[in-house]
Amino acid sequence: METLTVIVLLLHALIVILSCAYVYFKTWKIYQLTGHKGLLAFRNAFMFWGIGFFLQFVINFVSYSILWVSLHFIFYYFITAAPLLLVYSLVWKELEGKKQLFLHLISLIVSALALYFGEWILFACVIAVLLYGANISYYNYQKAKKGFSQLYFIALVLGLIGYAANYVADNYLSALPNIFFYLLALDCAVFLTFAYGVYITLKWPRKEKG
Amino acid sequence: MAKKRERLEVIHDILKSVQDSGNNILPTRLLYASNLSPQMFKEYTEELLSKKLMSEVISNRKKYYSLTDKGFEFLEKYKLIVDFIDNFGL
Repeated sequence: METLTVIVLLLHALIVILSCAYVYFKTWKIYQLTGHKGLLAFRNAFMFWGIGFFLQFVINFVSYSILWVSLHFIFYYFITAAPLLLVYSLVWKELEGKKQLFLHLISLIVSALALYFGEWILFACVIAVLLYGANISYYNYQKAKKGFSQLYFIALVLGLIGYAANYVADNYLSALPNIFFYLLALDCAVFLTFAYGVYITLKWPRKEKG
Repeated sequence: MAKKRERLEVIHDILKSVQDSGNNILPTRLLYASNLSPQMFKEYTEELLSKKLMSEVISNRKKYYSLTDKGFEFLEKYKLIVDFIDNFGL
């Protein structure tokens, strides 16, 4: 693999993983205070994305083997569960009584199917879920019309476009020059947006010194 | 008809009642102040005690509830918490 490609992949992985880590750890305090179920799902979504993108980076350096297959299965699981958890965080009240466990079961099934039949199953599932999530997010923005809710909707739509663009690029546009870099940049934009939203919304009041 | 309170709002109201009573309140008084059914009150107080937002104090053979540091922190940061939940649609 070319040095430039490795550097770009590393930079992409670092930006996404650090953004996800920022969201996860910055929201720890309010989760500790509230035990809010929607917040738990929200935090878990970003933890799963962080782990997923780490695995994606590692997979680039593993040749085809049992390990490669295993890592792909685990990667598919995390990258499927993350958007499911994010959308669950928006609708958990309507699903009261249903635990997050069923989301993990769905993710495992989709991952197994994707490994056997092809990634299109995973992309179709995630895109459908994110479309639904974008719809909910738009409704929330219309209701709230304030703060981060508009940017949240935009980030969710960008994430949806990212998943769709990744599938299309992998299967139909891989010959296009620089498409790879645009997709990585889109990924970074999505997660930096969420990290920014957490930052501006959770600026704890500073304690007065002395 | 009064709007149904969200869980966080109920927790806030309970903790605020404890704070407003000088951080020492009898369970029966807190029950009246919380405007909850006895069953719901029991569930919420058990949760608040298990999450260490409140603590039980025995004084003169009577049980009182008082806020912990974590409980005070919840009240201090309540508006920020609610803003975050609203902004992210959680």
